[in-house]
Amino acid sequence: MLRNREIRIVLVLVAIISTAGAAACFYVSVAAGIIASIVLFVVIMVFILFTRWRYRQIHMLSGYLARIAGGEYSLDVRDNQEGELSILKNEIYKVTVTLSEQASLLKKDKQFLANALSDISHQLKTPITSMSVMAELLENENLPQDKRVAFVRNIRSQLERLQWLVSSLLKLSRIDAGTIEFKKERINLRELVNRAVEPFLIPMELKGQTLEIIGDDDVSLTGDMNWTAEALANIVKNCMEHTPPGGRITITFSETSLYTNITISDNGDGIHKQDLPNIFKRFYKGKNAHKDSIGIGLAMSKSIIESQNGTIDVASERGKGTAFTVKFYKGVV
Amino acid sequence: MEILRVENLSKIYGKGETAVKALDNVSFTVQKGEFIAVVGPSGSGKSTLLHILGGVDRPTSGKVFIENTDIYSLDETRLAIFRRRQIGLIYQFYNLIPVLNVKENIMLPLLLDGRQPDKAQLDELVATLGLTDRLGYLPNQLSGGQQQRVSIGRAIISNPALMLADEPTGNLDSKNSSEIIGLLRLLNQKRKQTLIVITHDERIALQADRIIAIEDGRITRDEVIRS
Repeated sequence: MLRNREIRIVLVLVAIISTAGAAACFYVSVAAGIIASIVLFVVIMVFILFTRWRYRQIHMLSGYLARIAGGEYSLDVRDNQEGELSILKNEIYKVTVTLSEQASLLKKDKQFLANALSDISHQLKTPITSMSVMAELLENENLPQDKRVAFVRNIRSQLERLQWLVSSLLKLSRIDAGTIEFKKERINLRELVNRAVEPFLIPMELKGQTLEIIGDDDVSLTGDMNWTAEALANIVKNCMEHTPPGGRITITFSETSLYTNITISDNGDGIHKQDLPNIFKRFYKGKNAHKDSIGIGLAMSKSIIESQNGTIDVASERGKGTAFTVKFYKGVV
Repeated sequence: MEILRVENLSKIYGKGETAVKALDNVSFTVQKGEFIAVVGPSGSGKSTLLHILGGVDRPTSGKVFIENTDIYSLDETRLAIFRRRQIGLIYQFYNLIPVLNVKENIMLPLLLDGRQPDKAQLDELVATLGLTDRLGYLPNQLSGGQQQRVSIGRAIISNPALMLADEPTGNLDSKNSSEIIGLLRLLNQKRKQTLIVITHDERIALQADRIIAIEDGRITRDEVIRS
């Protein structure tokens, strides 16, 4: 206890004041001096005892923290009493819970990474194998010209797919690592939606699908135009692919005092009930997934949206259609 | 990580022939970060269960462990302090204190502990709740949706281990309901806030990770929808 500088200062001050006080009392009368000395002595002893008790509590807490640092997360120091010390114990406990939570999350992350790596290498291996087979066949000088053209076209399309896969994976990993700085600009929703649907206007026309965009012109949100447009585009793409020719895709947006809401819905096949909780998981392929689907688009949308204080939910009914609801909140919790 | 464990919980109101069994030997556990909807017809014992979990009403028998603390082994004073620090409650009719303004109502659990909130954190929370320009208002100057947002703020400010809500949208129109549901979901996702919500509202039930159905004081169904 005496190692604490503030205690030494207090003790010296208390000693000076009490000596002076006692001396003053002795000056008035000897009896008063004796009484004052005894009272002061007892008060000082009580003070020292309580201070020691308090320091012992702090000492206990630091021992507790040392054990937590050693990974012993199950300790509980809370005593549910009034007062600062008890609040401190309570706060330490909450930090401990957070720490242990993060430790287990980290473990899960590692497992996830291992799985992701094996998924990725699988995704890369298939096209590479087929391309090397075709390259070998191309080496044959007697190969007819039309086959040759077909193989080259095939290789080119596989390469495009690989390129897309690699660049998507790179984006995804950058979002996950938090190395992307999302801009915080005022975005007009109509502009954003127009940007997101632009690449699909022609394919949708070819499929005879109608696109409907409903919302007020003054609706806006704060976020990154390019990334948010990409997130929405992935969802629109998904809707387009799972809606039969002649179908309809509707995008509505609105703003409340809490969030900006974007709903993208279609009247397509709908999603199987078992797939619903998983469609935002990386590399997850649903029952009626597109044959070229890798299961990365919606996962990327989710990452982008959640990195910008948003949430994404999906509701779907088989045969009736699917609706994705995206909400961007105005405050960060 | 286990946040809540309920063991053989029973609650009987009244005695002898007029005794009513509100809860009959209910047991389950909840992991940190789960979003649970408790559904069931009125009079099935849902609210009784929530009150017992919240430390407001003592069970006739059985135990409730929150973060490994047997809450009914604590005396009244300690239970009150435990509740203040570890449990956030949201009611259908808000239960805000009418003479305190919005800011004071939100800060109440901290004020009871003699603490001041971190200014930046409070501002952020208030902005998320959409109440920035309402801080000085009294509850009766607010709409139902706004009052419920205040009570969400009050429930979350102390970073509780467990947040309990009893029909949080029961008194709100559809627009306000979806705002409240959105906020609950956001807290659950961003803060990994454990949430148990009693509800008739199908939209809340669809947002939950797990649905527990109660009938005549017993759990009739306990189903994980997503993990």
